[in-house]
Amino acid sequence: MKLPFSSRQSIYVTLGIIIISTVIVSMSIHSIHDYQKRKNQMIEEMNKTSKLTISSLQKNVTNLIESYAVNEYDTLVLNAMEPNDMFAIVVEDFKTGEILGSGTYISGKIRDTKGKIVDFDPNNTAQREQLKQCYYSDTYTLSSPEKEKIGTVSIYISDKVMQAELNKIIVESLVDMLITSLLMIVFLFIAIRLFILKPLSSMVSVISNSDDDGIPLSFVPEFKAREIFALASTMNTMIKSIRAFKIALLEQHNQLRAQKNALQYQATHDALTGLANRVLFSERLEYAIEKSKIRNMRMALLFVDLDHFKEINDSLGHEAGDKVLSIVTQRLKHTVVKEESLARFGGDEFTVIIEELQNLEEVSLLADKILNVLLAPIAVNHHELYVGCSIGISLYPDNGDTTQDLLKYADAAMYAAKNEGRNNVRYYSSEMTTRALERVVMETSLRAGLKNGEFIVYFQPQVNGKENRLFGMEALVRWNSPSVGLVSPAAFIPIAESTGLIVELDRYVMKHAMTQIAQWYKEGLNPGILSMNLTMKQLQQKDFIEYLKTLLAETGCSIEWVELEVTEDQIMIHPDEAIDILREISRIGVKIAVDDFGTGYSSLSYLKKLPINKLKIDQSFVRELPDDEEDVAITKAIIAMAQSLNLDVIAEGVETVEQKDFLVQNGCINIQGYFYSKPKPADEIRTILIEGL
Amino acid sequence: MKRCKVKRFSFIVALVTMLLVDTAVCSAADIPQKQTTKKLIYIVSDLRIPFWTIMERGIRNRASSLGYEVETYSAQNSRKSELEFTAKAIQKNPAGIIVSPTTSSACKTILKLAKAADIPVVISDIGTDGGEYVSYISSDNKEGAYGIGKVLAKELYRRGWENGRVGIISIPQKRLNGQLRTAGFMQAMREAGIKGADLKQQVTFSYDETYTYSKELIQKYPDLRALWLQGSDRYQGALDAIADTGKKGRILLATFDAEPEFLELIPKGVLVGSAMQQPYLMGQEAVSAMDKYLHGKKVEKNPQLPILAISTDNIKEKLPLIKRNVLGIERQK
Repeated sequence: MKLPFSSRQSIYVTLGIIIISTVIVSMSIHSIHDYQKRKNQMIEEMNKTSKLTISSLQKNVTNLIESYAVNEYDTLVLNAMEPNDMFAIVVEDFKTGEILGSGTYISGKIRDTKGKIVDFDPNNTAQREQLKQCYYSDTYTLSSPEKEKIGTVSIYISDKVMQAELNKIIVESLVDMLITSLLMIVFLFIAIRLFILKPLSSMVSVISNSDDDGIPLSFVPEFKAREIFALASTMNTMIKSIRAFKIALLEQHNQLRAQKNALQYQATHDALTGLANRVLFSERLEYAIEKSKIRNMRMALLFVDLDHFKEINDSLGHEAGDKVLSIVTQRLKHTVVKEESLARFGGDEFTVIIEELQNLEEVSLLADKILNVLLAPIAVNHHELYVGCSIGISLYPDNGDTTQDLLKYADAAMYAAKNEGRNNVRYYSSEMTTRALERVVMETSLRAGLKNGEFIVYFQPQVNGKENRLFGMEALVRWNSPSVGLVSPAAFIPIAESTGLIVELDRYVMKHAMTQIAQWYKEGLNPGILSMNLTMKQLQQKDFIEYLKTLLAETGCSIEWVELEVTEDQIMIHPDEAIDILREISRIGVKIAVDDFGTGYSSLSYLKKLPINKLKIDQSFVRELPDDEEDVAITKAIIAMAQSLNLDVIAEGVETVEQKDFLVQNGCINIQGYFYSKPKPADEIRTILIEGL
Repeated sequence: MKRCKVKRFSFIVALVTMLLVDTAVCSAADIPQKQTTKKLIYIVSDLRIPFWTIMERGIRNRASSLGYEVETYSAQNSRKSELEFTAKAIQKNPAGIIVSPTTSSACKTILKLAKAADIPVVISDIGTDGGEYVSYISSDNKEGAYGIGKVLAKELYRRGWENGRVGIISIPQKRLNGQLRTAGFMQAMREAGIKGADLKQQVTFSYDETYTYSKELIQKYPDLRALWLQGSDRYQGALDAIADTGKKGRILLATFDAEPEFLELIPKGVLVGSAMQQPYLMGQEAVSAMDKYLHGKKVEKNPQLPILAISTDNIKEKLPLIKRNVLGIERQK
């Protein structure tokens, strides 16, 4: 269990205990050492002194004994006693003793209990006892020059003085030790407080003043002492690191959040356009539906699909396609009031949610605005592109009350709009669902049809209206699906184009048509020029020319027999690219005709550059001839332009003699249409070739 | 019956008395003989020296009058002999010992030994470096020397020789009496404004030594006008030196202590004068002190007897005193 803070012992106390113990022990050891040293010194000095004393005494006392100068040597002894450590000096004077009849005359000096030097009385028992208890004694023989032993001198050294001195030393040492220890302890305490605890306390104080994350608000003061400085410096470095880490963490957090937001954004927004993507759109739609439910209000979902976007992407590349999408997005943003109601559903599909619908006019108005704004040309990479869109609209609660239903129905309505010529707005109706389903079925069937060879090439004669002579024929594809039956090109061609199957379909038609033409030529018949409709998508295929050459070789068809038709609006999607491609095709000798001329937005400058041979007047201009003045004017204009550009011109969709006559009279002698023949299968055309029109 | 009782009582009384007397006699017999024999032993440094002989005569004189027997041991100036005599004296267990020690240092030993034997000691001259004694009879050496110094100075001035110097041939200055004598004399010289020449300490106290010292002083100090001998018995050495150096009549001689012939020499002017101790008197006083002590009377510890400063001027007057106290000439009975 962790001790509470208040129960923990202060380092001051610990240090204090250590200091006091250490100082006392050190001083004690020092004192003991000093005591021992001094004691040894004293003993040594004592011995030295005694030796010196004896040395001088021996000689002098000897002489005095010989002179019977008892008092003199007694005085000498007294003088020798002066050093305090001398307890007693006893002289045995044999000569005087002999005179006195006692054998030896013992005299000397001894210290009494008070340390006073008194005469030594050999009969004094107490004194003799004291001599026995002396610390040190030594007896030296005194001899005359004749080596006669004339006496002895004994010195007695008491340790009392030494002990007293040592006791004094002990007391002094104790006092010194106490004072020194006290001073050292006080000094050390103060020093520790000043140089260790105070800095540590400052550090703790600074560290304690921290923010919510526990990071100190200020740096630890860096004191001068190296270790404290190192600690403070390290702590400051740590604080800096932590702060930096925190900042980095925060930044990382922010980054992560931003990334999360970005990811989330990316997950919910389209990268290219910045619009809500399908995911977010679905959420918004769901929310809008819920809101509409709660408020009991109507809402509309617009499904906007760009027309001809695929052609642009295919012909000019994805980069150009992205730019187109960006520009489309900007236009839509400007058109749609609430940006958050706009979403890029995918590819070239956009959705718009209109909530709190008061009336349908709002929806129609917005749809029309969108149509118009997207009709305007888009400039990308020096190209002027025409996109347009088809818009499908579903309504809540009219058409459904779930996201899936509204989407499905808006999509179906969009497809309906596409099928009805594009650049259109259609509200969902129930049959659109059927049509959408049919479309899906159609696509599947189309694939199967291609695989199974269910397509048939029909030919529609192209006739010199003046001579009524067949000069060529246009190959047209027909589909006899075993499941669906005979399917109109208007039904499956858009699907083939939207799915990309058109490439394969075109090649299928090309192969069959060219094979047939070559066969007819082989049979000696004169089918004329074979016109085949190709999309720009087909022409954009990198291997198209090689494929054409191969096909020419395989079929035995001559290049002079082949004419390729490309619709004007297809060309004008990427006119520059179309020019390059058509030039390349033209170089190999293939004739090129612009189909449905007048329906696209070709500029004269491009028309000049195009390596085309023929203009094909669209049937929409022919239909009302010669009554419709506008059509008359347009037709004439086209004929005149063709003539001025030295191009052939042919009109299609001619169904009446009046139309034929008008055209022939106005210079367009090449006629194609029901007037002369419907598109017919090869065997019937063969008959025409044999029997004539 | 009554008579028998009286007889018996008398017998008993007589018996008891006899017993008591016997006991008293025995006790008296057991008591050291110092009480009954009254013997004094005089240990003297050297009887060959007249001073001590005179002193001894004084001792004997007073001892005789006081009923003491005196035995004298002369150490012949030998420490060894002195010690031997001390031991011998102690063995004899006298009533007291009078000592004129060879040195004050030796005296201390004598006193110590005597004390150990519980024998009282009176010191007659020289003195002691320590120890216990009954009395120390001494001469006022300083005063005496001062006196003879005054006499000499007076004579020097009289002769107009006050600018001359005075040489001293002294006894060993380690002796207290020597120091005192010199101090007193020099005081007189200082007061008189007479310069000192030198001081030579005698060791052997021989004639030759005295002669040599005197001659040296005379030769060394041409302005020497006087010699002072701190002793007396080798005065002839000094006189001969004066004569031999041709300074006869030009250098005065003074002494300390006296010889019998001084009674003639001083009046003749051969000697200026002498500071005369009174050894006879000192001896007498030593015995008196011992006697007082033995009788339990108060004794003066350190009496100082005057020294007679004798010159031509007062010799006649002091003659009787000189004869007896100085020279120890006892009156014939």
